[in-house]
Amino acid sequence: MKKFILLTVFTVMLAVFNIYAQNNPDSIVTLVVADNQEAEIAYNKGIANFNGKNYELAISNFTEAITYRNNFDKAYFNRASAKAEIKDFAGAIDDFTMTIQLAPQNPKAYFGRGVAYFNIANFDKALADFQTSMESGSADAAAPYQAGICYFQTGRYADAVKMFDKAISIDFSFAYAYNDRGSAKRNLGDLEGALADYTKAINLKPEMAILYNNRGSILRKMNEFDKAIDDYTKAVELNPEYYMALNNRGSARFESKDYEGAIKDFDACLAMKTDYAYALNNKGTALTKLKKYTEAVEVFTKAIELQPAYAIAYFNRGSAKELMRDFTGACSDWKTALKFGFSDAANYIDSCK
Amino acid sequence: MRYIVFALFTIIFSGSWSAYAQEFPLISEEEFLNTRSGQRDAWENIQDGNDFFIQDTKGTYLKALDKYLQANEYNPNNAKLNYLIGICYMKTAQKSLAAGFMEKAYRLNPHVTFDVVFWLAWAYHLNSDFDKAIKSYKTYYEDLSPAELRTTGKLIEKKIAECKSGIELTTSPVRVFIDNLGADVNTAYSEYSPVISADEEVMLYTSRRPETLGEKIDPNDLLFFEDIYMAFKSKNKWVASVNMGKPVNTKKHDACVSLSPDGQSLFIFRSSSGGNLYECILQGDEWLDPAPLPKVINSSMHETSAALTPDGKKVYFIRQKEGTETTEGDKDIFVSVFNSITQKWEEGQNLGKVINTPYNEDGIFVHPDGKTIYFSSEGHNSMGGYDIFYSKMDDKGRWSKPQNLGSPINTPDDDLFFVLSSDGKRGYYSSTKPGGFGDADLYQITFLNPELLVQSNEDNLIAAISSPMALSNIESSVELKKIRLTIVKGLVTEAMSNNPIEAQIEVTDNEKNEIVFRNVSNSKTGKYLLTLPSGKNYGIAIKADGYLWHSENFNIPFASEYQVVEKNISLLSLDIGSKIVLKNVFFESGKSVLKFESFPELEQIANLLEIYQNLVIEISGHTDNVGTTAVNQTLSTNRAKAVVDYLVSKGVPANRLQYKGYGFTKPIAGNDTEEHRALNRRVEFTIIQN
Repeated sequence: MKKFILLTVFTVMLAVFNIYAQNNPDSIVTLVVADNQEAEIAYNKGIANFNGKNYELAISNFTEAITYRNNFDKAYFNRASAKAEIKDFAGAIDDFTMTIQLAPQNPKAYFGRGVAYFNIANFDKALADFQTSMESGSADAAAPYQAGICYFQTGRYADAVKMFDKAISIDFSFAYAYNDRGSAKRNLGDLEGALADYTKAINLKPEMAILYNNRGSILRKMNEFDKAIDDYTKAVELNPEYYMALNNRGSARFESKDYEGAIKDFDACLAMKTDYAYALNNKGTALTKLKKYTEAVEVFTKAIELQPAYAIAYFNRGSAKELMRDFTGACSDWKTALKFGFSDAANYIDSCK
Repeated sequence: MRYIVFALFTIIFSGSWSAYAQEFPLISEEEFLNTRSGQRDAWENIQDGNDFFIQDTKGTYLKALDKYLQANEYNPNNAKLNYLIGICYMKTAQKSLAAGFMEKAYRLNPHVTFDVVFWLAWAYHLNSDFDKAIKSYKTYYEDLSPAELRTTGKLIEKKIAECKSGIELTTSPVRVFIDNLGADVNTAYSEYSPVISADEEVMLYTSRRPETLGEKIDPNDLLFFEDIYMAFKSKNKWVASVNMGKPVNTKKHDACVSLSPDGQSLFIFRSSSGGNLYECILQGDEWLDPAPLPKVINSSMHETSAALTPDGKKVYFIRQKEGTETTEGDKDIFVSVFNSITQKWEEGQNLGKVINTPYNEDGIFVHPDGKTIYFSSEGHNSMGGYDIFYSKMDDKGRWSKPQNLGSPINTPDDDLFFVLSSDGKRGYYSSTKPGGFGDADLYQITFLNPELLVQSNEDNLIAAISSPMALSNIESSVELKKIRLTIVKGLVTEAMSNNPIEAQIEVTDNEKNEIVFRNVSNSKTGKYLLTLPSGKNYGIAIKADGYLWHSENFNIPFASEYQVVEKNISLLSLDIGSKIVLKNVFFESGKSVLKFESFPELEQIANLLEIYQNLVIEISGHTDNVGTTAVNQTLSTNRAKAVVDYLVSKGVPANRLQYKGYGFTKPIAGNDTEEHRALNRRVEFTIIQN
């Protein structure tokens, strides 16, 4: 075989020599070399560009490689990955599909396509691909983890827990899987289980702010407000821009009846993210508790201006108006809240008849 | 010390204090009078106050209070007087003021009366100061003798229970607005027992104000007789109260009880015949003479309140118990059913222990649904006095456990006569809570929705969404097993004019001393292009007739990637002075021994001299500046000579060859880097004759 290749090279070299010897080289721009090396050369250039995050150039290189060799499965695979990087998920899915056609037993291609489907919120197809990836021999914890997320996103929390279990059985230090399993357990009402998982995730990745935030929210649900506040505080320390954790801490203070403290947190959150309607709404609830109804109505109104279909803000504004004896205004807001999907408002509308 | 002990009593607004008798400590002149100034008036006030006090009516307590307060200005530090003032306040509307006087009486003399601690506790209780009240009740309880325990122990235990209810109920207040109906309805006198029309446009209520028909005072309590008054709603405000006049009102007690759901029948209470219920029918716009309800409802006992169900088939009413025959308190709720066959009301039946307690129930109201009753009770979990409760009857006729309407509707004092508007949004009732116009007032309750303030929060439940993992995965590069190539391209031009030249290009594998490639540059453009496989050292010679050839050396390592090298070449004509560097002539290190790789290029020179027989050339040797001048001079001379010797050995006549060593005197680059020093280490070819 080796001899054959060398012979081929020699023959082609001679051909090249003859071309140059006899013809004007003006038109020669690209050198045609032995055994179609351009596909591999372009492919390797694509990898270099991909690694340099030059994804558009990488796509161009992989495309060139495919032009030279249309069954170049790795080039399809890499082009798919590059397309995914620039969020061309439809293009990525096409290329992963082509890869799968050329190399049906490639678990990475199924996984990659699964991720692309996930990114366009096609969770069922994503899930099927992650499953196939696992069946095709992938021993990577990422496949069951991603499958778990698909289950989570589609509300199948018990199945999600099983998948996260599987991911953790592959990788015992997979903090993300512990966090997400905690979230699935939280949605199943297993607060103790969620608390344990978040704590485990924190032990594995103590620098990750969201883990403290999530545990804080579980503690809040367990009425452990002081501990929740501690966790939210830690989250904010780790990520000073974590406005969500500030908003949550404000709610924890609200629930522990520290309405002034809650308002301080909501204000700090709003200083960070002025258009955060949730913090405005929550500030309104604290102002309502402090009987500052006029101010409360003002901030609820701001929240509604930011999110015109914000049912909860309408509902809360209605409640503040009720306490201002503006029963007509209250009823109007409660009706709007119901229209925008806050079903609890129906009970309040009964009093409007 | 002498004490007078007596029981208390009223007609409608009996109040829960009727169950307890207090001491009456007589104040002596010796202990009260101190300074001479004003002592006569002060002592007269004491005596007058005492006269009123012992009459034991609400009206006389008010008069006693007036006298005692004047006496108190003379001597505010008499324990007995402070006690008596406190008692007077407790018996009238301004109960919240009693605690201060009781506290002072106790402070001045903890034994001013045997029950001062009890009254102090009760005063705290009425002020909703439940913790202090419980503490004082317990103190009082612990000091009771066994005999006293038998008579009052249960009362104290109930008071403590009421305080505990108060703590519980005030901890979770119900969401209501409670508004005094204002000066058009309420006065300094008692207003109570409101009823409203179905459209909530008309309100009837009872008052004991001076405008009562006949303007008479009841000698039993020295308050004006009860009459029924009517108020109207205008722009959401109750206005224009008027006495209903005859025939509804009389010169005696006429109290409002309830209005039938259709508004055509008004039930009233009259004090005649021991206190009975009457029905007034509205004919057109006139009320007919009240007619007593049937004997099955009106007994020889006191019936004070009644309410008809919306279907007219039942009437709930309040009846005072007969002697000791019943164990269910003084006043209980009864029900009478209308027999559609006999067309008569049946004998009233006690609603039983779920509803009725050993204490008083009063103020019955039936919800428009016919299954829910609202009533006041001193029992159940009242926080003191009458509290308002409701109970629902299930499909089997069983009553649910009565639920307290909660604080702030209910208070530690009496809260009575609750009625509900048809739409259920508002209630009306009578209360002696602080802040009214005096005595009992009418209040409107506006029921608010349950408190629900909804927070909006979000978490980062999925870690990979908030902090994406590096999921991107690419296949690794492929190894290029084929020959790597370097492309060399450029232009060949004439040095002076820059015109393109068609030149021959020869590529020599220096290691093999083999020409591996030949090509020519384009005659019109001068362009050339060479492909050189990696891993070799190449000598490249560019030759054209009439020009000095040009040589280049390319060392392309194996690791080198595909690359394009652009190299433009200017050829010098064979003029005297033209000079080229022989880039493919190599010597052993530090010596003047030619290396094998030099021979192809030297062959080129020999060929050139063969073709151009007139050429005489000089071969010059040059070194870098490493080493001494003498050494470099010798080395450069010897290397130039080695080249000449080689050419001579190839048949070139020696007279056409000169050689000279220049040492490092003519560098073509700085000697600062190895790269530059390499350029300086060279052999040159110069035409010196042609």
